[in-house]
Amino acid sequence: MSEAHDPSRLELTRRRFFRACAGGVSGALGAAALGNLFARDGYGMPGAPGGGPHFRPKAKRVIYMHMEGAPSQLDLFDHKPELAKYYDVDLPDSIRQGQRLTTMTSGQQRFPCAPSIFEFKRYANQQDGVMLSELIPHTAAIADRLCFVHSMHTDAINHEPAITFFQTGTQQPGRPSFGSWISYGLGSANENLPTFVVLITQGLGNMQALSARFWGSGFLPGEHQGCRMRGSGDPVLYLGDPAGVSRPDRRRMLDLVGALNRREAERSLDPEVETRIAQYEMAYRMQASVPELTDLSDEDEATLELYGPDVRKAGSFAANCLMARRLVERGVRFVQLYMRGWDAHNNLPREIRAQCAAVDQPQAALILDLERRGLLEDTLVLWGGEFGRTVYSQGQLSEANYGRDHHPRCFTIWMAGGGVQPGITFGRTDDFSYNIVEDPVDVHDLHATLLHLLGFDHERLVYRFQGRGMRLTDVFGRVRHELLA
Amino acid sequence: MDYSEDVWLDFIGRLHPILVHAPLGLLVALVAFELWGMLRKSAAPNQGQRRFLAFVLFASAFAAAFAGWRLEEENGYTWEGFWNHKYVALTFLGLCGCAWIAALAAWRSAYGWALFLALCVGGAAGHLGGALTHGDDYLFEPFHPREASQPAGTPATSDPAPAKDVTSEVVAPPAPPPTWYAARIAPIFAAYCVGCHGPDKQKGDLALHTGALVLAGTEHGRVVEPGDAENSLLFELVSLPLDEDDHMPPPKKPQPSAAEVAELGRWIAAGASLDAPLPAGDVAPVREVEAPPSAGDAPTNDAPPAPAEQAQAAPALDPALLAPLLAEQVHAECLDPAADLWWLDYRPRAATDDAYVERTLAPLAPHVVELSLARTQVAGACLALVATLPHLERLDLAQTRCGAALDALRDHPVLRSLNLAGVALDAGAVDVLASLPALERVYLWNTGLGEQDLALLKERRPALRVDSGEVHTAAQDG
Ligand code: HEC
Repeated sequence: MSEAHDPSRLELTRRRFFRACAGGVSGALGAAALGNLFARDGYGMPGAPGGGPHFRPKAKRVIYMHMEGAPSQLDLFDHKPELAKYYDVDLPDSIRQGQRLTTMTSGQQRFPCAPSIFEFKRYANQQDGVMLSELIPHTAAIADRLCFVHSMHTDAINHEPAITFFQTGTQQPGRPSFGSWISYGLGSANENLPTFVVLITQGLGNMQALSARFWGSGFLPGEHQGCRMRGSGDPVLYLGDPAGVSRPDRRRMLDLVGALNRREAERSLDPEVETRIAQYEMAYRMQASVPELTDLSDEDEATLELYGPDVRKAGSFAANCLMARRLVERGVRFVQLYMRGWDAHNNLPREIRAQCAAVDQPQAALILDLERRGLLEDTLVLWGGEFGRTVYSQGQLSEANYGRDHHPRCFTIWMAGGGVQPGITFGRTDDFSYNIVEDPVDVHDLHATLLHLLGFDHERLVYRFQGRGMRLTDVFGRVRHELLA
Repeated sequence: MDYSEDVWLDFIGRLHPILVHAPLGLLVALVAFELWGMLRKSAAPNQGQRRFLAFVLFASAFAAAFAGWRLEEENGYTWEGFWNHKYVALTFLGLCGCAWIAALAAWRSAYGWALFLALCVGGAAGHLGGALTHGDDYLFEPFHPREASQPAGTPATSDPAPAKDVTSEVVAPPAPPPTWYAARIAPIFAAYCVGCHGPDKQKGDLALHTGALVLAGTEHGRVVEPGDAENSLLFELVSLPLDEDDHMPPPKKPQPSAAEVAELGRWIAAGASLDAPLPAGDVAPVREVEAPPSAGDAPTNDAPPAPAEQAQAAPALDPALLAPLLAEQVHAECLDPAADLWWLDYRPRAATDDAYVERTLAPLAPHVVELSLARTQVAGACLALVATLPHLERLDLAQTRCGAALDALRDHPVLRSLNLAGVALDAGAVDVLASLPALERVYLWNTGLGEQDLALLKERRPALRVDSGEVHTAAQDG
């Protein structure tokens, strides 16, 4: 955590000041009044909130599959049959309207349209069907459970700020992650596991950096930070006891360290000390809970088969999907799955084939598995990248190959479960999937809507920091009731 | 920066606690001097020294009194303890004056008596002043048995209790059932507001020392809108963030606790009646700093309308009942603060069995709207109790051995969703499921029910969504 974002630094000066005063002339009065003041402010008090939702929620937990690098909406979801006529024709100026480009294509002489080479078919949903790509047959087969939003758009055009925006509601780094807000607002539903868990799958295409601050807790108390679990080796680093240290030894050590820390917490009033105590205790409990969590021997053969052959490969998307189900089943509030490798600037067809092969069956299996276990009803599933990809080719365009650049002006995400309207598509783009022509949805709207499903008024899920109330949606956001069941 | 007009005068007022020590110390010295002089004539002070010291005594007593007066002006104390202190202290000032006059006039014995009386009265004034800051009981507290300092019925707030806990004072004798207003609301006004909005001062033209005046508001309109806390100026001002200019009471004054503010909100939302009895149960958990949740906190534009049946959920759930559950890792979460409806999730406590559920669930029965027992050791005995939960809408029994006891749930009136995934069932289950009038969704994956059973269920309840876990997928049409 950078110094600028360390709440204890701001807090301490103020507290020290008052404590010094309280020791002086009007000791008794001062102390009573101040105690009161802090309790009211609740600033940075670990565990103060977490009192549950504002109103009756539809969803109690979230699985957010982030497709890092940004998959192409044109080759998966946003069917544009008219585009075939524009093969290798420059994108009309009337469509591009001088919009900004990344530096990767701004030097290009031409912007030739690249229709998707993949075949689309109509799949039944709760409306008159949805056209989906041959790349995702398993996902397409459950289209009647999914809600496709074709009209997402974002403000950022590069990966870092765009992911930061989706994860934290702001492009600048430093705000709490979505999962941290949920952890803060809902609290834990199982004291033996973290509230917010992150699982990462390495991609098969072009990859971008993935920083741990995407799941940081920003100015929220540190216990709300995402806990990364690894696919191979120790699932959680540094959890095991060193050889020769028994569990009772560990307990005694924690008790002693805890007593010292509590004394420090009383002296310094630093909420981060409380966080540290809580994290030591959490780690101790996880020593018992994690082995049970990661032991797949209680999964039957048919279930493993549902997720596909990769499920036995540690760290694969299939394994992580199965783990996501096991986590939410045990009360984890927010599971963030990252699938890397969607940044197909060149050789898109080859890369996207491999990526889809890795995610298609497992993600559909996750939905089905949650559904039959009765979990989908109150688990919100979200799938999407940080932006879309351009209709024009980056680099050489041929009949069989093309690349696509970043495109923030429209892209597709899908959702399922947890009070989302199943089997619909929402929003429309123009014939080039370049501009939105109907029902634009921005990132703040999405956040406000998801919070609404979780029982929060996004304007009231607030944390005071730097002198003002901070929200996931900042000063924006509108609940999109069209997307709700 | 925003200062009160009389910063310096206010500052002098705050010197009161220091200044009071000067006359008292001087007085002790003077009395000692005279006593010593009675024993050894040579040690007695001379006339000039007496005059001078008696003048200093009077002057310092006057300074202390002046500072005290400023402190009163600033804070507008009204309670009785304060008046006692004030009048005894003024008597002390008078006696110091007498001593000075006696010294000027060289009336030896009058001077001695004045000093002696001043010493007694000054001690009393000092004690009464101490009682203001430390509590009435301060002097003799060490002699009382311990518990006496925390009267029963004090709402447990997370705030360090201020020296004078007004709520508890009034709650103590519950003999005639007190009204909500008298027991909980008036004490809040008395403690934090009446100094400025009372019989002596009516800042902003508002007085709050009687119920009628609270409801009357000011000449500009009401400050309390019965039934609508959010649109009540009074509630709005007390729930503003502390750094907001309009926040009441003004920032540097003693502030009501979050629980007290929430209590005000609840009282207003419930109709701001002066005669209503105390609501059963007590303090709801106080969560949000920005906007303390209260029944009156009508959700804003995006929230669904509060359920109409809100009233029937009384009495409120006592948080103390949850503590043992939470300690054992059972998860409890208030899903609907307005109706006080809770989700109980026993899943994290894998060792949960029927006896444990029966023991812990019974006291919470009226408040349970969702119940998860999945993957615990329950074998069905607890379903008899579960069946009596009046608000139970969702029940998760997945992967338990409750199948044989399912009959207990027959005819449950409001159960909407029932999860039986992985529970061994026999054909009789179909009849039980069909009997549930409100049932919308049932999960029957891995239950052993055959095609025929499922078909029968479909036939009897065509609108019921049955999830049998067979992986049916969306048909594709070219
Ligand atoms: C230190 C003095 C002081 C205390 C204590 C105080 N107030 Fe006030 N109050 C004021 C002043 C001064 C105003 C007028 C402010 C203005 O007109 O801008 C005021 C105005 C108000 C008003 C607005 C009246 C109107 O119609 O404009 C309300 C309501 C109010 N106070 C409620 C309260 C409540 C409730 C409390 C106790 C919780 C309280 N006040 C405690 C000084 C105080």
